[in-house]
Amino acid sequence: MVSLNAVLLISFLLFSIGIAGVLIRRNALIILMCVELMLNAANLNFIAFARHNGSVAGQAFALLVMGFAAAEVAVGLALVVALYRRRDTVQVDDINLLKG
Amino acid sequence: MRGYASILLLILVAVALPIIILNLSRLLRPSWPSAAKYATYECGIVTTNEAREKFSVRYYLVAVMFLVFDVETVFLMPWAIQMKELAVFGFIELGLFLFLLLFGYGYIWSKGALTWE
Amino acid sequence: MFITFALITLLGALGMLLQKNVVVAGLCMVAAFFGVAGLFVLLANPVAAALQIIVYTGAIMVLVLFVIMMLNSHEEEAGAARPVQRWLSLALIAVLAFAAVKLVLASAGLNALAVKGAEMPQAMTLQKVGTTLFADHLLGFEVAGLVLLAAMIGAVALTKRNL
Repeated sequence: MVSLNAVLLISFLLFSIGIAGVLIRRNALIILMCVELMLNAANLNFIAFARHNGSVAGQAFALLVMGFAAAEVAVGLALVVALYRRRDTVQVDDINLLKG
Repeated sequence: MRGYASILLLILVAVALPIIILNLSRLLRPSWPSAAKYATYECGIVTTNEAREKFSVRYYLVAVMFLVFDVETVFLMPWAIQMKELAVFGFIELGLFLFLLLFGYGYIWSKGALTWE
Repeated sequence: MFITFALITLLGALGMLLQKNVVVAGLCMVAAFFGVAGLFVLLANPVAAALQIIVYTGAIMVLVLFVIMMLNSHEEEAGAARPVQRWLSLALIAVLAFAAVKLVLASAGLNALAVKGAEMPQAMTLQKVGTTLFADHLLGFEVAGLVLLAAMIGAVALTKRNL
């Protein structure tokens, strides 16, 4: 039996790594992957609570989160592809046209 | 936990097999390396560049369609298992869901995203 | 078992964070997702584990690797020092950690839950998920369909050259 607090700790660490990745890395692809990691941490929480609460709602929502993650990845990567075609870069630092 | 022993065994075998085979053949074979032997195709054409090449963006659209319909299948699975219990209501619900996605399918078809230009 | 999967997950995530080569970072992400699937199994939820492997390590990873290959951007990232962002992320994580620990320790309901979990509820099955998803959460289900439609159209509109 896995204790709830241990799972919460793991998902917190996963979420923290995701945040650090979004802030530190400059490659748009890696940033998207880190967002995926954060969604995964949320999923882990949903499943852990569904397990310890004895309810199925958490599982149903984890399924929905997976669907949303897939949609987000499709559109996000499409943005990266379109950006690469126009500016020839995937580094977010080079995308500064709006910077005045 | 008992039912997962076979899966664990499968993973272990899958990891161990290449390690064993590669190390065994390294122990048994004679070793006289030369530049020609280290070429990718020893008796074939000389390689000109890296294996990591750019793919065309056309592959991206195909991959995106795969992703969307893969997730759709994931949503269909719980319905298929509970089909009798969910009865007509579930059928209508799923029909709406499928209509949305088939609408998208028709859209991308009409825009020519499925043709290989 | 729990420690093993937790280590796979966290090391995969850390590798992704620190790895300069994008392809290797992507493979590290596969390891992290696989570890999460293992954690789902340990939480008596084989349904979530199977879906995790199908959706994440199957579809999403294929897509990410496709784009990495396509953009040919596996060259090293410029190693510019980013002190502001680094400190900002550390500060954000510290605030999050403080809030999380405080909330977890303070919440009576959560503590009761953690104790209650010891009485071993049954494993999740696909039947239960079907009943819940299609009876109680049908709006979320239809919205997910709509979002997938939007994603499909958005991806085509963004990447197709001549619509």
